[in-house]
Amino acid sequence: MRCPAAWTAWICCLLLWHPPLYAIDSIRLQAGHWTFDNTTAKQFSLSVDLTEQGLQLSAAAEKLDLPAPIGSLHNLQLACSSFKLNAGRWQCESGTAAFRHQQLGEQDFRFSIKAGTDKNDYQLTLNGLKLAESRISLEADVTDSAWTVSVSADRVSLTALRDFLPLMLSESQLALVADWDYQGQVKLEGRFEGKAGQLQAFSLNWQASDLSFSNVSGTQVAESVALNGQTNGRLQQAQWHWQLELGSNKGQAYSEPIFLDLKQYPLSLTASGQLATDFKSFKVEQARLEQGQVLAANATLNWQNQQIQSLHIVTGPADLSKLYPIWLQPFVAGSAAAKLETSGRLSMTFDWQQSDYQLLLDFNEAMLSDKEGRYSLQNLNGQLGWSQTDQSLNSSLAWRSAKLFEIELGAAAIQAHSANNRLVLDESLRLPVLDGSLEISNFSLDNQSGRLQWQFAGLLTPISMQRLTSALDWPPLEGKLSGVIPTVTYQDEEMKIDGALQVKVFDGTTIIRDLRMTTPFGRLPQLYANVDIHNLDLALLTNAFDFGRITGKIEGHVHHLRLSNWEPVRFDARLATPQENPGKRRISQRAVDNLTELGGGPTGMVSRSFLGFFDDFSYQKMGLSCELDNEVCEMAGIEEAEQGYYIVKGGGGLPPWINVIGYNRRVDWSELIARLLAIRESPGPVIE
Amino acid sequence: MKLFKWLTGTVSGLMLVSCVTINIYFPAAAAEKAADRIIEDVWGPGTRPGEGTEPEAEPAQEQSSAIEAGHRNIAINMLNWLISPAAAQADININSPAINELKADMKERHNQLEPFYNSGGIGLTEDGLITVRDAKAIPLKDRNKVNALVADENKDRKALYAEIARANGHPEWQDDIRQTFAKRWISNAAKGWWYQQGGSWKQK
Repeated sequence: MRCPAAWTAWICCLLLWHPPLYAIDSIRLQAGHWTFDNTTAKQFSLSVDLTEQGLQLSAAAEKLDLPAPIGSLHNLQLACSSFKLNAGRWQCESGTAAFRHQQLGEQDFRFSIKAGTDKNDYQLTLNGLKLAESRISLEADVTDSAWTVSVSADRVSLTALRDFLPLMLSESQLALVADWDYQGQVKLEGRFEGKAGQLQAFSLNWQASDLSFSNVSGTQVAESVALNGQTNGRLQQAQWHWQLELGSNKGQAYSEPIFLDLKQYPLSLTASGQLATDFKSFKVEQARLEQGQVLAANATLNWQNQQIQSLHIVTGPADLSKLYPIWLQPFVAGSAAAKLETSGRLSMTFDWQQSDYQLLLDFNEAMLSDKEGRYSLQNLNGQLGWSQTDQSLNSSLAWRSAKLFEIELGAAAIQAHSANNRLVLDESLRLPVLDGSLEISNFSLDNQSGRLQWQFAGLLTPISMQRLTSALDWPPLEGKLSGVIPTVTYQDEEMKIDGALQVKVFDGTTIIRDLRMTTPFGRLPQLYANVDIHNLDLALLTNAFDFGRITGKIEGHVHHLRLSNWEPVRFDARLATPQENPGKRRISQRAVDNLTELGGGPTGMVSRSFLGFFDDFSYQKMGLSCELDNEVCEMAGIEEAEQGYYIVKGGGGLPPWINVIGYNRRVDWSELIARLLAIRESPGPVIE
Repeated sequence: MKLFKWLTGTVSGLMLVSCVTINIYFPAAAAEKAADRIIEDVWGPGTRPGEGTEPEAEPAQEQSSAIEAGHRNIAINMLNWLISPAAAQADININSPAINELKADMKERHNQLEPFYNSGGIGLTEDGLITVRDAKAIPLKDRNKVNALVADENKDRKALYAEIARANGHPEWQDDIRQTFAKRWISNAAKGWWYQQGGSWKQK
C-alpha cells in the first residue's frame, strides 16, 4: 500500500508551502538553492500579493526534489488566487499547480486546501491530475488521529499505468506483474481510511472495459472482457475482512483448460473472507459463482502455510448438457468420456482436506451417451461417491437402460461404498444383458497412485445367440451363450477374463477361453481368445447359413484369435469331421459347389455333369483349416491331394462319391470373406 | 563325459543366443519406408521424404544380429531348418484394415491440425507424438478443440505404432517403430513447422 504514502508526500509538499505573514503589499523571495527536511528546491521563487480578495500567492521552482517515491518535479508552478487566514486555520481555494514529472508527465491541475496551522490536519481536493491517460480527482481529509482519501479516475489505461507501477509496487510485486501482458481501461472509484501510516479500511468500485490479459505461457487469458467489480475491506486484529463482487458479461476468458464465453454465459462472483496482514493465511468464508444457466457453485477455502488446508465446493443442480462441454469435457480429453452427449442434471460436492479429497456426484435423470457409440446410460439417478480418505462415502446409483457397444443392458441399481481410493460394491449386481444377465459379485475398483484397476466374479446366465448376433450384426446363430467367470480383472488397460464362456449352439458346445481385451474403450480395441468347438451338428449349421445341406458332426478350434477393432486379423482355425462316430455323412450338391468355390475351384461343375442327377453324396470325411495372418489365409484341408488338398473325401456310404479338392493355398482374407458372402447371397445351384 | 557335457551346453547355448538375436532383428530401413508411406498418406504428398528437407535421418542401418558377417550365413543356414527363414527377412507390413482406418482418421484430422502446425501452435515431439507448443498461437475459442484434437491424434499414433508391431507379429517392436516414426514425422515436416530436439523446440 504505497499509494497512500505517495499521496501523503504530495500533500506534505503542498503544506510545506507556508505563507509568509507581513503587513506589506507585495513580497518576492528568490533562492538559487533551498533545502528543508528531505526536500530540495532549485531556482525557487515565491511571491505574495495583497489584493482585494485576500492574499494571492504564487511559487515556482525549476526543480523540486521530493522524498521517494515521488522524486523530482520540474518547472513547478503553484498559485493560489485566494488565500485566507482565519483563527489558526488557513485555506487556499482555487489553487493551480503545474509541473513535469518523469512518470507522471506534464501535470496541470486545480486544488484547494484547508488546514490548521498548529495541528497536522487538513482537507485537500485535487482535480484534473493526469494519470495513465485518465483525469483523476482526489479528496483527502487528514487529522492527527485519522485520514480518509477518496480517489476517482474516469479512464485509466492499463497499458499507460505500466509506467507508474514502480511508484506503487515493490520489486517482487513488479516481477510478478512483468510476467503478464495486459491492456484495457478502468473507471475507478476508491475510498481509503487510515491512521498514521496504516490503512484501516478501503472500498473500491471499478468498471473495466476491453480488458485483455495473458500470462507468459498463455494458460490464463482474457480477451476484450468487460469486468465490473466492487471490493471493500476493513482491518480488525491483524486481519483484513474483505468482500468482493465481480461480474462480467462480455468477452472471452481461458483458464486452462476452461474456456468461458462471457457474452454467452455471463459470470458473477461474490465472496467474502479474511486475509492476514502478513499474508500467511487466507480464508474465503463464502463464495458464490454463477454462470448464466450453466452453473451455480458455493465454495469455502482455507489457505495457510502456502498451501490449501481445506476447500469445499457445492454445485448445482446443473444442466448436464451445458455443464459437460464447459466444465467437464476439457478435463477428460483423450479418455473414454471425452465425447459424450449428455442431458439431465448433476450436482456435485467436493471436499478437499490437506491432500485428499471426497467427491460426491448426484445424478438426476441423467443421460450419458458416447458419441462413438461405445456405451450409453439412460435415466441415471442417484449418488456416486469417491473418497481418498478413511472416511467412507456411500453410493447408490440406478439406471433404467444402458448399452455397451451394440449390446442392450437393462435396468440395474448398485449400492457401494468408497474409501481410501477404492470403491466396493456392497451386494451382487444383476445386470440384464439382452435376454440373459450378468451377475456381478465382489466388484471392487481401485485407483491407487492413478492406476485404475477393477475386478469382479461373474456368472453369465444364458443369452440367446440370436439376440447377440443380431445386436452385433453378425451372421445369425441359434443357441445360448453362458458362462461362469471366476474373475474378470482390468489393469493397465487390459481386461482379462479367467474361466470360460460356453456357447451352446448347433447342438454342440463352443468354449471360449483365455479371453482378454486391451484398451477396450481405447482407439483400437484388441481382443484375444482361444476357441474350441465340439460336436457341432453340420445339418443345423449349414441350414443356418444357407450353405447347402451337409449332415454329420464337426469339431475344431480357432486358436490364437486376435480381433483388432473387432475385426479378425489373426487366428489358427481348423474345422473337421471327428475321427470317431462317423454317423450318417452326406453332402448336398450345393454344398459341394460352395466348398469348391471356397477352395478356389470352378463353380457349378457338379450340376453340369451327370452327377447333377444326384441330390447328395456320401462322404468319408471333410475339413478345412485357415491360418490367418497379415491379411492372408493359409488354407489346407484334411489331407494332401496331388495338386491341392482334400476338403471333402468321398466314401463311406453308397457311390457315387465325390471329392472336393482345394487348390488355393494362400487366399486374401478379404477375398475369402467376399466368397463366403457371395455364397450366402447366392440363390443356390441351377440344376439343368 | 565332461567335455561332451560342455560341448552340448555350449552348442545349445549358442543356438539359443542365435535364436534370440534373430528374433530381435528390427528391419529399420523397411520400417522407415513404411513410416514414410504412412506419413505421405496422412499429411498428403506435399511433404514427401527428402524434398526440401535436410537429410536428418541417419542412413538406415539394420540393427540386426551381433553375429559377425562371415559366420552369419553359416549360422542362418544352420538355423533355417530350426526356425522359419521369414523371420530373418522381416519386412514391415502396413496393410491391415485397422492401420488403414487409423490412417484415414489421422488424415481427416490433419486438415484441422495443419493450420496449427503452420502457426506454431502445435509441434512434433521427440517421441513420435504431438503437443501444444505455443498456446498463444491458438485462438481462445479453439484451445479446447485443439487440446482434444491433440489428445485424439496421440491416441491414434500410439495405436498405430502398437498395431504395426502386432500386425508384423512382433509386439515388442512397438518402441522401435515409435522411434522410427518420431524421426520420420520430423524429417517429413513442412517448412516452418516446429519439432522437439534434445528437449528444446526448433523450427524447420
